[in-house]
Amino acid sequence: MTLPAVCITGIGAVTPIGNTYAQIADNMLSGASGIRRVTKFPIDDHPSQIASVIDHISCPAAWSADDFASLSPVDQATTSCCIDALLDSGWWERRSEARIGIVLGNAGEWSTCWEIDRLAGGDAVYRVQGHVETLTQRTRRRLGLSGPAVSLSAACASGNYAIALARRWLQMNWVDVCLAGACDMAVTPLTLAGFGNMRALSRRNDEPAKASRPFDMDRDGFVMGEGGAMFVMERADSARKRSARAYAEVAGCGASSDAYHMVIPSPHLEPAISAMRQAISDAGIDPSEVDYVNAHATSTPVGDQAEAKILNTVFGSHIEDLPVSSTKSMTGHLLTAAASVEALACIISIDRQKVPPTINLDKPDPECRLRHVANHAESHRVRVTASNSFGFGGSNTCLILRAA
Amino acid sequence: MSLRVAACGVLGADAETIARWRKEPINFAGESLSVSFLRHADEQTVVALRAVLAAVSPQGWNEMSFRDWGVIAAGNFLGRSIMAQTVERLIQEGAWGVSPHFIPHQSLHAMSGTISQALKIHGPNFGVSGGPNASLDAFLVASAMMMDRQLPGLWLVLSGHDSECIPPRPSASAPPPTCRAVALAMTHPNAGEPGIHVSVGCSLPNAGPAESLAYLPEFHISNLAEVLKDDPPAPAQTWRLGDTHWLEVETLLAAMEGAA
Repeated sequence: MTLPAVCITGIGAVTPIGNTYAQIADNMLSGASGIRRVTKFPIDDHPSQIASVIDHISCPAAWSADDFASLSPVDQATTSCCIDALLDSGWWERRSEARIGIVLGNAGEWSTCWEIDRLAGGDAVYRVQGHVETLTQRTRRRLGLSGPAVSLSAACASGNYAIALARRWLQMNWVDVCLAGACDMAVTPLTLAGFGNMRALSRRNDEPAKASRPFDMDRDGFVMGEGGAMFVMERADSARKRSARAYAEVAGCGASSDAYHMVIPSPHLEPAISAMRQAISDAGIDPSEVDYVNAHATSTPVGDQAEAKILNTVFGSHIEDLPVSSTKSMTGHLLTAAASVEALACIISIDRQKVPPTINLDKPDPECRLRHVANHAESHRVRVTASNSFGFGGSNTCLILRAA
Repeated sequence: MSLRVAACGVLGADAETIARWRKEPINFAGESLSVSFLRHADEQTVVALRAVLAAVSPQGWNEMSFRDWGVIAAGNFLGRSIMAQTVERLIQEGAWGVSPHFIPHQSLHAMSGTISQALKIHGPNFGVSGGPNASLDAFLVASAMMMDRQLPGLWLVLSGHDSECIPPRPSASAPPPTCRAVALAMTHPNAGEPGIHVSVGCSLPNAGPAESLAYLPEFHISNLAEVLKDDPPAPAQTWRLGDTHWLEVETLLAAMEGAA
């Protein structure tokens, strides 16, 4: 069965290193860090006191400032990303003419909402919620869209699952256009404490910009981040027909589960290898055709070393020439939004023909034998990218993007 | 897009039963899971896993491998009670009071992750929606996941409470409502294969969504539970999934022996 090709024709993003495509691309390729000390709530008793946080989300030009100001942070981020993506793709003014769906990655919509409310003195968690709208339903109604809208979570792999599902809806002709990606504004006291008490976070509190150091010998955990990215996806033939700019084709998706433990990383690498191979096979390419890998690499010793072994297995001798980097060194780990922002990093590499760096990579871990792009972006021919996203609980995903 | 319900488990449990199930050992495919496996799990996860096992046993699938299957789980306000307790501890004790188990076991993907671990499922697993319309959204996702026939089967697990489960305030105590779960083992149907078939489709392209779907009743998880337990089977029934899709459940009977 030959399924229609699907491509990305619009981008909207809110990230710790910029809120427009050009700004994010420039900052990512110059190695800018968005990580700093958390100031939006008291952190004295938190083991980790740093994160890449979003202080302010600007109201999109196409929206009412008063209405936007009344929204919760995650509603603002999602709305902003969706509107900007639709504007970028040329669908905003014509959005009533097509069945536009939404697939949004977000793991903690309700808990974040209840936590923020309770810490502000509210009692929403103790009150009847009734048939309250979900974040995706609110976004759909707010933007006046008519396609189906769902949210999903596979922890840090959510964004890749969202893109894969949107691609299927397009191939099934359930939608004409689909917004897909993930948004997460989860740097809250509870999550910072939860991950901190898990001993998963970096405690390099006095050097925030140097704390996220994937593949480096001196890493000591990941750094939380927040933000998101949404993409307008449509069938390639439709995009061509309306002469839309296609940033990339969503060429392949792969997914698997470790079925090992809800927190502890699996020592068995076969499922993650399988997810990468599925994605490469789905794209109909040979592993040697991949030009850049955006690694999941969160800056934890166990995870980084495991991924290096996975990449060596999947790519064989090609790994010696294949640039690999982890943009989490700059953005921090955006949790459920990580995969979508890293898909954006891949698009930037295709668009600019430059590979973003892993910053803070001063002493590469010898157990992570890869062709690192350390500290500075590199010019490179990039036509096909692979982006790994592995989630807590053992979700493994890989997304292959190809120049359209 | 049509799928066959190869097995189903429908369960409800009160708080006492859930507490007992949480401590009981779980055996599957000759392996015993640790007795602490469900210690930190949300009550919906406990009931959902039991519903899956309730679907497995009558089919004689206890030794079957679900290795290549997928799992989609749609809870309803998963983790709310623990969330309330955790935020109160955060307020009283500060960061120290937050359990490291909270995030992994109370997030939207916790239920599907736990089921994948219990049944050793290595296909995709993720959580869907988590809100009041979770079951509706789950069918839209499940159908798409099975579209290209790469997965041999998919567990679609839906859970929630009889009425909204509002956590008791720290000073109060009230029994929570019954927690329910429906676990469906969905497979690709062969033509005319007897059993329960589920079809999902989008509204007719030429008609406005409102025109083509307006006459259908809105789907609710209780509708499905009723159909699954009907004996003799009910005629085909169709519901509206939001304002874009429909869901049809039909029971195909085995052909009469010797019939033309």
